[in-house]
Amino acid sequence: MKIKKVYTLMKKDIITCFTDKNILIMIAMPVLFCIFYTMIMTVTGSGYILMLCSLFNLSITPVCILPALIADEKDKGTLITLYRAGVRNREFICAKMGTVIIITLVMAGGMFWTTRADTQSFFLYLILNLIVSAALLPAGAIVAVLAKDQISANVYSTLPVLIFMTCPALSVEADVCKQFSKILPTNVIVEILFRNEKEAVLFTRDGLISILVCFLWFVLEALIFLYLYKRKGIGLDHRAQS
Amino acid sequence: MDDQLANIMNQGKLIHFEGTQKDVTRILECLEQDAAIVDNQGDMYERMTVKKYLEFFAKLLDHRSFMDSAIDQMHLTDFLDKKIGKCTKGQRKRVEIAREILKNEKEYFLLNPLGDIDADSRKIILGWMDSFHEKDARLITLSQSHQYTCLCPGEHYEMTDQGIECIDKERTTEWNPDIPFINKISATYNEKIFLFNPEDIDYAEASEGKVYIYVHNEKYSCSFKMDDLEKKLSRFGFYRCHRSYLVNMQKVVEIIKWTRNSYSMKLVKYENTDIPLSKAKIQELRNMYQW
Repeated sequence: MKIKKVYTLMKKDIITCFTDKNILIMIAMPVLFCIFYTMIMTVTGSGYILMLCSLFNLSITPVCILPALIADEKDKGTLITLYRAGVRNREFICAKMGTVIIITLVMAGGMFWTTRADTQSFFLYLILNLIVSAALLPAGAIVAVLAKDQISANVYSTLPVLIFMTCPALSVEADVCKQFSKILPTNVIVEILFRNEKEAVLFTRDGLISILVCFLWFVLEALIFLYLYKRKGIGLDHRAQS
Repeated sequence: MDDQLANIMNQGKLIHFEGTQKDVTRILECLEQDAAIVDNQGDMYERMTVKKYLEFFAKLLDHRSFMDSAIDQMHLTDFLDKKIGKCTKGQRKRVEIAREILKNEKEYFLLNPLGDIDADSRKIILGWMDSFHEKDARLITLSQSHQYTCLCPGEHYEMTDQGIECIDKERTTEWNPDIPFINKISATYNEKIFLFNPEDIDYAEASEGKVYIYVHNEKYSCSFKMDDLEKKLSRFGFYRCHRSYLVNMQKVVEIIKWTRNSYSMKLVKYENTDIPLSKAKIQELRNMYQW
């Protein structure tokens, strides 16, 4: 795998994220909601808004944007052009995943500064976003393999987005959701950042368990992705596969 | 037929096939894995400018040094900052070819390289094709149009269900005094039979084993063979400019030079049609009309 190729592809993909209207709207939505909630919800506090919008960002970006980027190439027919230019599947997927991680972190940073959260926890906040987005990337890759085009990618990713976002968000109010969200990777944000609002603490029992849950999700998703990838590929002829 | 195809493709540097979409796979199988291919499968990034697009592929291929050459060969300087989505079909085709030139491969395959593009782009692409005579590389094209196949410089073949036939072979004909003198030429269209005066016929074309005559921009099927048609019509000012074409010279308004050995003729009221002139006939016509 050539890092130079991955870097070149990533540069193009990052530009695509901000020039393709569909993808730009998906990326911008969590940040826009963050700005909106910050303006109207002064009572609840910035910690809650940041948690809510972070869940939104982490649910959408790896699970929706990654398959949207790949499906966009399939729809346009540019995938085969890339393969004929010597780009291999690993390089292609790595570039897309790298792009998604960068976009996730940039949007997370934007939301952090919008809510004016405690700057001391900024680095920890970014690390947690990185952990969760990495854990959810294979889920986005699974949707990408299954989806034929951008529309089906959006349809397939809707349910996972709702589960990863809604349950942890409601866990603050509902015990049932709290119990269920313990098995979700996005619970890391709630557990480490929100429950210890005054001081974000990483090394609590529940915090470490939630990180372990992320890891297990990553492994499970990766295995499913590899299985589906071997059967279906990303939808190209045999000459392009490697 | 695949052995025959492989033999033909190994023999020359510039080989042009007339065929259909189903022949593409067969030709691709005879090419190297890394061959440069321009067909209707891959698409382009519409939002990128031409320059950014070529830079992107130059970086992917790690062939930035070939970028200037690719731009020069396809004459892209005038619209480097134009978005690909706003380029004409001819400009897009040239950008696609420039992208493949970046690969610096030994084999190139183009599908319908001259179809549906403007005259300037056609001239540039034909000039580029001509340069393969001096290169250490091979160019294979496949066109669905007989006309465009014949226009390309090099060897020409027709792919049919029966096999692959060379279009370039000239048949020798002998004058047969038993053929009666006929003033009208019969043709059919939609089960109707027409009889045309020779002076009304613009040109005749042989394609896919059949002969067609063109009258006032309409195409009619003719039962005569090209050789017989040539004998009948030569006294009316028709000239056999190509094995597959017989042209009424009274209707010719322009002779277009694409490259050193590639000429075509334009007829009055046929703005989008180029009748190829075979290499063997160029000198004959030059002597006849003194240009």
